[in-house]
Formats: sequence, structure tokens, C-alpha cells
Amino acid sequence: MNIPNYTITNTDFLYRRFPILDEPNFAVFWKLDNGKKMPSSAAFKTKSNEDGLSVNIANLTTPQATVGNASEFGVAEISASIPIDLGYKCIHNPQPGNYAHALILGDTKPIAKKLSKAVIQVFQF
Amino acid sequence: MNLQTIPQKFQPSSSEPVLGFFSGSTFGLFMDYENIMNNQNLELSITNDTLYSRLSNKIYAFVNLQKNWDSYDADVISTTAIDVAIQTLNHLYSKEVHSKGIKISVFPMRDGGIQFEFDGEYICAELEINQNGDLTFILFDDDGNIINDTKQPFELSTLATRLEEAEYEYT
Repeated sequence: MNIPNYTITNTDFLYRRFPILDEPNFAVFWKLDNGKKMPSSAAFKTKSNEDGLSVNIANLTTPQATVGNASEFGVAEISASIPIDLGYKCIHNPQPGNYAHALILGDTKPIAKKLSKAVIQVFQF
Repeated sequence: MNLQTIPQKFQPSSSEPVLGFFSGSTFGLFMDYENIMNNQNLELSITNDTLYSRLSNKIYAFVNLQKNWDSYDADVISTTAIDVAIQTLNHLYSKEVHSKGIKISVFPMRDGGIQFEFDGEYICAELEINQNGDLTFILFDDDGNIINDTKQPFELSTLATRLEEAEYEYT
């Protein structure tokens, strides 16, 4: 069940969960960009000890399944072509309970801004 | 940077809980926070005092974020990062950066730091404060490509000037 067998290509779409909590914790990861709510690049930055950025493969899941706790999180959708065209490998990395899990391999800080600007849509439930 | 020598305009008083920091004349504006956040023109027209009070309130509230607050194993925001973020806010306030047409946003970072984002008419930039309080200033073009990446030693005192110069240069 957890054997990776999906090849991510330019035609795939990826989901990334991000916090939307407002007061009192203010873990809000979105801001207004030309009147649209857009996630901050901070949502797309790896920590130094991570192999890559966790995402879900849209073809293998749904935004509803990705969001988990909908009162605390939203889901941003990006095209896999963005990291791939920037030279980043995207690999299927199934986890227990989340077969759709994938990684954008490497340090994503240098492309986090581009990822945030490339968000196609945001799901809030 | 000596953290002890920089006054913190937005430090909450000891008699006030952090989350009750805003009070008095600005309270009504905070009650209208959602409307403000949903209207870009209002966002640009709110006063310096209102904006900076709101941002300082947000920064102090980061202390409440628990480990894994983003569900992807994010770290607790360090108190050092919070201190430096407030110093940054004081600097931006004193230079009236917001009133010069540069929108300011602040976000917690997954590694325990804090990130400022600046959106002008022609430029966007970020100031990353890591969990040790170290600064990285990054300038982007419209597509999000990095134009300039200045790691330590970045002097906080030069931030407003850097933003204004960048806005002028890329006009």
C-alpha cells in the first residue's frame, strides 16, 4: 500500500495545507495580493532538517482529505510544473494513512515565493 | 545587536495580558479586522498606529503557537525572534514605511522564526528573522525570482532605506 508507484509530471497538481487560524494565535498564512487571499511564501519553505516540502498529489486525493481540520487549515493548489521547471524533483512518498503524500525534494526556500505566487486556488471549508 | 538597548514601543504593559494589548480608540478598528483584511483599499488607508498595533499584537501572539502548529512539524516561535520582530516593527514605524505605499505583512516561520513581507507598487521583499534572531533580506521581482539575497550582516537600521531604494530603482 505504501510503495511509491506514481510518477509526478508537469501535468500534475499538488496540494499544500496551510494554517488559517486568526485570533488568538494568528497562525494566518495568507495575505491580500491584488485583492485575492494568497498564502504567504512562509507556507512553502522547508526547515533545515527536512528532505523536502510535503505536499499531496491531487490525482490521488481531494482537498477535503488533505485539509484535515478544516477550522484550522486551508489547502493551496499549485501546478507540479512550477517546481519541476525550476529543477526540483517531485517524488511520490506515501505515508501511513496518506498514500497521496509527495515531496518537493530539496531546500524550497529559494523558490517559496514563486510557489506562493503560483497558487492556482485556495480551498477553505 | 544588543537586544537590551533597543526600546520596544509596542511592548505590552505588565498589567495587560498580551492578547488584550489593543485598547481604547483602536479597539473598534480591531473589531472590524475582517472587513479591513477583505478590502485592499482599506488596508492601504489604515493609519500607521492602527497597522503597527495590529502587527505587534500578532507578533506577540506567536508565543501561543504550539509545536506542529502548521501540521507539518513546525517549531515553536523563539522569543528571540519575537524580540527582533518587535525591533523591526519599531524601525518600520519610526520610518513610516507603510505610509510610503509599501504594504507590510508578518508571518510565523516553520523553523521558529518570523517573516516580514513587503509589497510595494514595483517590488516585493522579505525579511527573515531566524530563531536565533539573525536577519536575511531578500528582494524579488514580480514573478518571485530572487533579485538580491543579503544574509548576515544585515543591519536592521538599513531596512527602510533598502526598501525605498529598491522601490525607486525598479520604478
